[in-house]
Formats: sequence, C-alpha cells, structure tokens
Amino acid sequence: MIYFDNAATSLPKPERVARAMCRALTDCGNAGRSGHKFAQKAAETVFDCRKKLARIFNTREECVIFTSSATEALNIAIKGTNRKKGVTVVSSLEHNAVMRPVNSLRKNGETVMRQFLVDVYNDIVTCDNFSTVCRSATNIVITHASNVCGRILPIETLKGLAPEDAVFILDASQTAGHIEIDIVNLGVDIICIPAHKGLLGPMGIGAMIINPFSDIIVDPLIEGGTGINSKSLEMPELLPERLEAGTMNLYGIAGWSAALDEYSIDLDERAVFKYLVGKIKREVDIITYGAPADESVENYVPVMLFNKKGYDCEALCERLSDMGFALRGGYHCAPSAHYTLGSYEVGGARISLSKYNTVNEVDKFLSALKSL
Amino acid sequence: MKKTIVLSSVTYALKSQELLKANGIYTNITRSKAVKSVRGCGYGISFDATYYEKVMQLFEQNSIPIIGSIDEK
Repeated sequence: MIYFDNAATSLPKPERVARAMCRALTDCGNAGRSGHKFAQKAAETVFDCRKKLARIFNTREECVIFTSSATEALNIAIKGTNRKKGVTVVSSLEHNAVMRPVNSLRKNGETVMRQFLVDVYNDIVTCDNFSTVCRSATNIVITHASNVCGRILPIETLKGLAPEDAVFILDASQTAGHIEIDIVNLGVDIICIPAHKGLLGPMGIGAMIINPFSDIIVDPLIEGGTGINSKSLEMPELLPERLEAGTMNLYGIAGWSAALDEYSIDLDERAVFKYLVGKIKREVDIITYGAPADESVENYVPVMLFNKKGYDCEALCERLSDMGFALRGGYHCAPSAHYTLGSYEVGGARISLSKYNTVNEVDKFLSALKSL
Repeated sequence: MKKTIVLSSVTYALKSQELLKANGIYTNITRSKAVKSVRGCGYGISFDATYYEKVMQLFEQNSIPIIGSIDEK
C-alpha cells in the first residue's frame, strides 16, 4: 500500500518514535508530581520535548503548552482568549476545529463571527477581503494552510493588516513540519499544532505555542491538579502549568520528542509535489480545486484536491484503496473550504504527501488513476 | 550551607537547572519539606549557598520567577 493520506496523519513514523514510547512506558512515572527518579525522568522527557518545540518555533520553553491535539489547542486558544466577547474573524478555508468552537461562542452570544473569502490565486484579493472585515476584530483565527487544497495563506501580511490589539491565533496543523514557522517573525500570538502530521509524532498529543513577546492571557478550559501550589483552589498563574491540568500524555510526548530529533524541512517533498502537480494537471479527465496554477508550488504544502470525471470521490478513493493507494475522500471536516473551492456539492479526493513519498510512487498512482 | 530556591513549577526547575549548569553551578531539584512549606506542593533547586548572588543575577537576566528562598543545612 502506498500512503498518500499524510494530511490526516503521517505514515510511517520514524522508528525511534515507537522505541521512545515503549521506553517511557517502563521508565517514567508521572511528570511534575513527585521527586523520585521515575517522576524525574518523566519531567525531563516532557522538558526535552518543550525545549525542542521552543527551538523550532522560536519561543521559550514555558510558552509550549501540551494538549491532546491541535483541536484541543484551538479550543483553548479560541475560548480562553475571548475575554472581550467582541468580533472573531475567520477565513473561508477553516477546518471545523476552528469553525465549531467559534460557532459555539457565536451561538451563546459570546462573539460575532465574520468570515473573509480567500482567493487561492490572488493574495491581494485575499488581503483586501480580510481588511474589510478585520477592523473591529478582537480575535482572529486563521489556518496557515488549507487542509483541503494545501494553499498557504499570507499570514505576515494579514497580521500587518489586523488591529494591533486583536488576538491572532494560527492553525498550523498542515504547515508544522512542512515549512519553517517562526512565531516571532510571523507576529501572531498563538500557534496550534498536532504532533502526528508533518512533525511525524504519534496521535493524541499536540501543543499550543505562545509568542514570548505577546501579553495575552489565556484562561484554562480545564482545571485540576498540576503538581504544584496544591493548597490553592485556583489554577497557577504561570505557564505552562496554568493550561496543563491533569496527567499529561507522557508516552505521546516521549514519542513526539523522538520524532523531533529527525526534524528538518524536506525540499525533496516539495519536488515530488511539484512533479505530481505537473503531471496530474495534464490529465483531461481530472478536475483539481485550488491546486497550483502552474508548477510553482512555493505557496503550497503538499496537499491536492481533485476529482475524476464520472466518479464519486468516495467511490474513487475506494477503488484506489483496492489498487493499493491510501487517499481520503469527502469533505475533510472543512465544508467552508469546499464551498470556497467550488467542490461543496461533490466533495473531492485528497492526495497529501510526506517526505517519505517518492516520484516513483507518484508515477504508480498516476498510472492507476489513468487506468480507471 | 545550602540554599534552596522555590520555583513555580517543574518546568522552571528544569530550565533553571540547565541555565545554572551552563554557568558552572550544579544543583539538585527538590520537593523537600522546606519547599512544601512555602506553597503546598512545588519544586525547588538547591545549591551551595556561596553561589546565591550569582544565581539570583542569572534568574533575573533570564526572567525566571521565584516564589521564595530557604536556607538549609
């Protein structure tokens, strides 16, 4: 089976991930709860992972908050910074991990939601559309790249257009591990990431990365034990423990930390994607949505949405699965993105690459697609 | 004579330990009774008291918040 569903979760994982997780199962106690050697080993494992993430995203260790997923990180970021109860601006390419928590605040009368249309072929139009809705924004939540079509949004420009005091949250679920992300250079307040996609870690662990120069206060969604300040009924004020109530997923963190030892931005991955784009766009019975206009893929992560004429997307993915190719069909939990890209009625098949995919695999896939 | 500085969390305890090690000061992380007396459960780092001023200077330079400090024999 050739795996092309890396936007859902990357596969394979580096071998060291499983080894680190198994070691943690036998060597580690509960991090931050005791002083014995097992707890100490666990605390060091957690701190090591914080350090690696802090280095990659250019923040401080205490500004790395572990969560169970990017979705949980987004929920904490969106709901925990909504103190002003004002206007939340989102893009038209958002995943439900953003749309549903924002909509939930809207339904409860805690925010007004405004959406701007992304033009995947024209950043100037995207920025103009953003400008018209962002003036009164108190909170801005935007995907770094679409999980449906892979288009990277011009975040630095959008941040420059946003009101200075608006909280700016970035969903980097599809970009982390695929492109360099420096939170200080981007100027956003919070970045939410999963371990298990481009960063090649296990599922069940994610993080909220906070800009070390941001003065935002994030209120916890979950309260409970932190291993410190136990006599108080209040959560600690300082990060990261303020937002990390309860026992952490140490095995996930151990695996993620091991995966981060192999962290690198892979240029070959981009070359393979460029090859795929060039080839697939020549197929007359293939319709793409929001794919690169030509073979220049610099504004994309390696994700592409397409349909084959005469095939329902789910049926197409089933056929491809039978032929040995793993792709994802449907709406990819992002109906708004499909609406934007013109695939709302039909959905689509999504191919998404990782650094382990090769040109040879792409050729095999293309000939299978052609043979249908 | 040892000095123990109480920190807000195990994250800051480990961060402090690394910082001090890089500056040639060796420490132990502790959850001693003395630490507990300051704020319920917590973490501290203990070190030779002669380094106290240097440690405080490094903590200030690196924005490491301190809950309290205790003299221990």
